[in-house]
Amino acid sequence: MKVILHRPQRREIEIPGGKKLADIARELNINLESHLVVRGDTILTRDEFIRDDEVIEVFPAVSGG
Amino acid sequence: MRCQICRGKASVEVRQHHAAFCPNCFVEYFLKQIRRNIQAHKMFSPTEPLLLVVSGGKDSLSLWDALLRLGYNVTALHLDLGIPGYSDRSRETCKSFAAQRGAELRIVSVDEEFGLSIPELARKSRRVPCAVCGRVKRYLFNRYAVEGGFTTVVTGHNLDDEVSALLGNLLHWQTGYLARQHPHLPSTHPKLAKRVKPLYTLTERECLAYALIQRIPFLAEECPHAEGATTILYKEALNHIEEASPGTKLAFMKGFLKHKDLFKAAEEEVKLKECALCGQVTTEDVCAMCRLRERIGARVKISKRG
Repeated sequence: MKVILHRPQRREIEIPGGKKLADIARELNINLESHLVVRGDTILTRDEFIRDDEVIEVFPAVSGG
Repeated sequence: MRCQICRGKASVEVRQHHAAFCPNCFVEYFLKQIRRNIQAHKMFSPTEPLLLVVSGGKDSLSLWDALLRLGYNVTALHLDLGIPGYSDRSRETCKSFAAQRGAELRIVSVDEEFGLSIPELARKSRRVPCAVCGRVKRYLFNRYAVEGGFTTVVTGHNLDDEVSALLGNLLHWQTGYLARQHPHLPSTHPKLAKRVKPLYTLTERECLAYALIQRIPFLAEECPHAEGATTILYKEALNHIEEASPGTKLAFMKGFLKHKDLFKAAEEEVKLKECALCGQVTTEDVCAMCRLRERIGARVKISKRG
């Protein structure tokens, strides 16, 4: 599966899919309290299952304010 | 996960309330929170003329969208800071949102006001840009509100902004700041507009979710001067705690407001007067903004806005 990250710069990484978002976030050290993960146009909850052929995008919520 | 309102498929989890919502019910929840905050703290009435400060980021544009949907009498003000590239993109984002929604937007340029941009003001005064920027923003927003007949300055500060400021003030025992921190700061002088923060119980993540669901064309880019800001460190630390213990940030904020009187003794009795140069509210004879301008030789604009 492909993961698109937006910070510090936009980059794409490939990781094995077929697991829940909570597990992927733990693996990539992404805090789901400060990020939103989107598949297509849909925001995902942490129990969502992500298949190996899917693309997810990680948006950071924290800003300098 | 199921939406707690309609039992459809949930999309946005809101763990501090042990809840999850589908996109439509999340929008309803978000608007309800804002309306409740406005009413609970008597921030403003439905017809009052509001001046909403917008940067082009997700928080201020989400609040702008929400206030328009809730039918408030809102005019947005964008401050062009003159930061190369970033400020141009921020301004265009605000203009595009206003055009899309048919909403009223006014733009004030720091360069036109002072003859210098934020980076130039910071360089000449040998201060960090964020400190100069904060001072300039507070000064211009208040002046614009008072001169434009707006009773209230509304800002998009969210729960994360508020708890990170609270943590910073506690870590450094800034008791004076703690005494003054509140989502509703009333006017204490005819030339001082009241300041309110209707998003103060909503997280940055919730504001981002609202912006994505409503397809708000916000600027995702961070201000180049915010890199390495202490605020971000505090926010990340609080989010680590929040991940392990959901509801901590909201409880921190609400608990602070409940026990705020503990800091009452630190509230200094200040006598407000009008600046001898620009006429704006200050505790000194000449306000901090005019002192800064005089020191670095920037233009002093005294004339009243038409």
